[in-house]
Amino acid sequence: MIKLVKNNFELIFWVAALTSLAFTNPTQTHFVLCPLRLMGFTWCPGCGLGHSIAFLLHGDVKALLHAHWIGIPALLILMHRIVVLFRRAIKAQQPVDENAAFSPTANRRLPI
Amino acid sequence: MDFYQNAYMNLPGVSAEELGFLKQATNGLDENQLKSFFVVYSTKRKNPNDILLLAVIGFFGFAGIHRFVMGQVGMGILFFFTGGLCCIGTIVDVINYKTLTFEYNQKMAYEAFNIVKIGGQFY
Repeated sequence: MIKLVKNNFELIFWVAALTSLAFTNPTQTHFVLCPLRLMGFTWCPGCGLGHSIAFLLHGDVKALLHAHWIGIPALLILMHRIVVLFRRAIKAQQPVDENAAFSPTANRRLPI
Repeated sequence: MDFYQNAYMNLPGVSAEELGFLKQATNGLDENQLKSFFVVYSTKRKNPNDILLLAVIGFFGFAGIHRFVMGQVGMGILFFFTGGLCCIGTIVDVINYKTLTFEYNQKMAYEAFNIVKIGGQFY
């Protein structure tokens, strides 16, 4: 179980991040995780990105563009990355044939 | 053959997981092919420590270089223009650099395997 979480850390993180953005209300102020904000900086190149994706997931395009235009490509890129990682995770679950040479389907982790 | 299996241990930053993977991956190769595979793979693979270093540069304003280096152009652009998703993406990658590099190295092993199988031998 720990191994499973460790191997798929990135996948779990992105999925958790996007689902939590889908369930937050972007119009309210809330607890801030951003390390730059906590250090006292008022601006960073990604500011408004979280709002932007949350607006996109709620379907509010006008507010999205007001928050940060990069929200649309960001969501697409993250979705693509999640699909790639998810495919990998499924492949790693398949049983490994020790005697098989490298085959196109054998691009997977060994269960050590 | 033993020599080239052991030569993997001298690859910089190699992990037990990677050694096991390479052993399985090169199972079907003969001795000459193993030599070729080692040469091709060792030039293609990335050292996890280098990836960690590039990821840490993200805290100083140039985020996402490690993603470009590993061929993930989309993630690279996203990281670069958002300061590593407000540093959070960079932190994730600093924690996760070994798995990221292994993912890339597996792809490279697959490529090296195909190059050797197609007939690229140095003799």
